[in-house]
Amino acid sequence: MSVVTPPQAARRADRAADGARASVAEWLRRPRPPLAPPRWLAILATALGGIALLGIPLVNPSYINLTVTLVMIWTVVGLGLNLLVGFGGQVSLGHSAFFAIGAYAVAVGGELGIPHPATLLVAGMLPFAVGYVIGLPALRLHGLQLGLVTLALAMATPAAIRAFEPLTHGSRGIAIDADPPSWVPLAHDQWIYYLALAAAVVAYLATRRLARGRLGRSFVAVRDAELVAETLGVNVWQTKTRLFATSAAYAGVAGGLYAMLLEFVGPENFNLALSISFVTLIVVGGLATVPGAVLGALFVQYVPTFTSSVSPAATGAAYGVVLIVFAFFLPFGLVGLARGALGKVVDRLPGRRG
Amino acid sequence: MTALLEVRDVRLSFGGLQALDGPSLDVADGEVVGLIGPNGAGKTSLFNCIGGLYRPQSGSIKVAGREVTGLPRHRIASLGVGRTFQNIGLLPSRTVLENVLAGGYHSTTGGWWATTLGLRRIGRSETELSARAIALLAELELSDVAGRMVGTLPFGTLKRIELARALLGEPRLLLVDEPANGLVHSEVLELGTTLRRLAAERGAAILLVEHHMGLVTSVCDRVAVLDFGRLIAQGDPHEVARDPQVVAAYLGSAA
Repeated sequence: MSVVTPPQAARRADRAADGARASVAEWLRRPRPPLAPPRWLAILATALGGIALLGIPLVNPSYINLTVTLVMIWTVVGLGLNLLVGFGGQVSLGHSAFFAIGAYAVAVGGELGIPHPATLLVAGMLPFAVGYVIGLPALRLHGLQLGLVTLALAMATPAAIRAFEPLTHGSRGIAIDADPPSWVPLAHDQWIYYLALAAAVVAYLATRRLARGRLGRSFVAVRDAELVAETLGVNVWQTKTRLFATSAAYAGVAGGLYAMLLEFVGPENFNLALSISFVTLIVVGGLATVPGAVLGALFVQYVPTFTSSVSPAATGAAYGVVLIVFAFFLPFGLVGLARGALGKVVDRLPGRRG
Repeated sequence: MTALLEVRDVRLSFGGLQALDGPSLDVADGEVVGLIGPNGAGKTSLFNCIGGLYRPQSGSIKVAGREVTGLPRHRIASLGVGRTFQNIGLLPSRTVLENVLAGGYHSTTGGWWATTLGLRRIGRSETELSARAIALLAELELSDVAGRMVGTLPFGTLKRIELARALLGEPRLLLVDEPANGLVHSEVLELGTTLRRLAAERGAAILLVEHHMGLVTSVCDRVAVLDFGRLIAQGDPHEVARDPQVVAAYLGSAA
């Protein structure tokens, strides 16, 4: 049985359209539909990936678990931010603020004696509410102006944390005891690893559902042509505020996990550089792609480790160069590259799809 | 019976330019009405008033008895008003099929929670919508391009994709702006027949802006003529085409 899926058809048409005439730059820049693996491959890859992810913390030293946990935390932020920026087309340079709110929700909640996994819920809900309120006026702005307002948010975050000293203990920060509950036979690093894994899986599935189908199409319509979106019945402003609040909630949960992982929060953890690395993450991974958040998270976790071994200043320079290169040559990021490179091969694999 | 669309004395000006100077017009359920007139006569302006893109300074526009002037644009769509754009309002980064599916937004449900939780009805509604979209693409002879990115296709094809998108929303009133633009003569008449049939099957009324008189006379039950924002004639397409005022508007008067 040979059923041609829309992505397969698109690639065939794509090839037929221009043969071998396209330059390399054009080839890189071309929008492409997602890979359409046959079902057996999807199941196999999910199973192997699942086993690997579940097994990692049991066989590795804690510093490895720490970096993999960070990758999952960045993934959660990236998934949410990509919903807002990639799919919804609303720029935010201010998500370090929501990340900080989530982190401090866990820290302050712990000081008040609320048990830790429960504080993660607050770490999601509080940034959602704050994001909604900030989004109400901010999303009336477009492009550059919205970028500036959210930039101000990121820049004000460390100062704001210091200013709320009675709650945040200012520059001294807050130490957190995030050991697993007594009934969990895991070390601290393993426990947080599994919490982060659960959060990343839930966030991934939720994002994939939101990004597809009726709502996903409405996001892209809002991004590409607001007037058209409205003509189709999309409440543009409501869509934008909900996207903003939802992406803030993702960042908040990630921030909460971050606080539990480091067992300390202080104002300098949440500076502008953190926001910039979030944006770099989604650009490198691939704007408006769901798997892009994972690839981008790997990038922002491991590339700075490598560059800082060259020179402390190299990380900033590397981010700058990478952002420029991706903006010019890879608008769909590493995921776009993977689609271009693997699309044909994956389409040829036999098996049932969809 | 009240009309599906009731336009009364709509006035719209941009600075000193009077785009609409009080035209009144009715469209009944299921009726196909042509809106013609020379360039700059106010046809697209009237469309934009009905769709909520412009807000007229005075006058009233009712859809199914409901006043739409001042209503948010997305609410107008949910009253059953679908439209196509003169200069194409498609999403260039998406495939043809995805563009058409976007037209099903207000006729389907599926909020944020239901979608996030992956409720079964969301999947069912999506499957059903895709089936209808694929059928519509076939009827408009767009099956071959269903998986193509919209950005690479010719203008005439884009016009039909927009039409498919608007029809997928099951509109009660479909505003179609120059669907024949970019088509050759034989395709125009074929498009007219298809448009008329698809609308009749769905019980949709059509208000059609078009310069191609062959299409207008073959498809429309009735024609309304705008000139300098005023309604100068309306009635049977063949009679209106002979009306001296209409001829003068198009060819310039002999005065």
